[in-house]
Amino acid sequence: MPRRATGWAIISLLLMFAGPAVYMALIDVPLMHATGAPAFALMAAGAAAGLVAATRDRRLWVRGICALDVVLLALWTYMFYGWARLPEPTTLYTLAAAPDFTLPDHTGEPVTLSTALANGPVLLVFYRGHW
Amino acid sequence: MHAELTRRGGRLLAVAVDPPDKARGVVERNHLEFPLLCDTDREVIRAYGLVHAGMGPEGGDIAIPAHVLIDRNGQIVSTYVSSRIQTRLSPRDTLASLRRLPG
Repeated sequence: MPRRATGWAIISLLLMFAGPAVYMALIDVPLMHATGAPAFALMAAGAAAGLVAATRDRRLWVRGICALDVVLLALWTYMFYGWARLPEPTTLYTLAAAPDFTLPDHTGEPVTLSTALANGPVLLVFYRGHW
Repeated sequence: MHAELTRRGGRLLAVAVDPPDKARGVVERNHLEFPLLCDTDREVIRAYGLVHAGMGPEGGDIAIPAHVLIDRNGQIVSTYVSSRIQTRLSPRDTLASLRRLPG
């Protein structure tokens, strides 16, 4: 009887999509230290499951899924280490004094840095935005 | 970290390029206890050299994620900057700098 590894193939696909999903869920939590490690772990597990499926099961669609797993992992790796690189903020490192500014906050109230500094230190947290 | 900051009379100010109506949604959804400042003209991120050109949805500039700790005299005490989009800054690093501040 030909060997079947349908379960492995399906699990591998689920893992390949769980990886980025977990990453996207974590990335919106402010001040959380999110790296891509959990996503990578899930996708590596998915690729491994795909390989297990492909070595056990000769059907074309199973092997196709394994290939897809590998492609998705490669794509994610490229995105993470290539495309996701941020430019070096060289100007920031040359600044000694913090440039003063006034900006509206989320309620529309203007907030001035120098005013806030009168009471104590200020931690400016720059977010990428576009949530 | 927020407790350490407020103990010293300090404040946390978040900066993003989103307009106030979007920022309000973010603050409410995440129950943020600090103000989210709206740098819609990108003037502040330019002044601080934290521009990631063209990476916004419509090709606009957005900020490079960073922590900038400023002391009472307006001097930049420490900075932590992401080298990759996926690297979120750990409050622990900033806390270490905060503890080195006098008072």
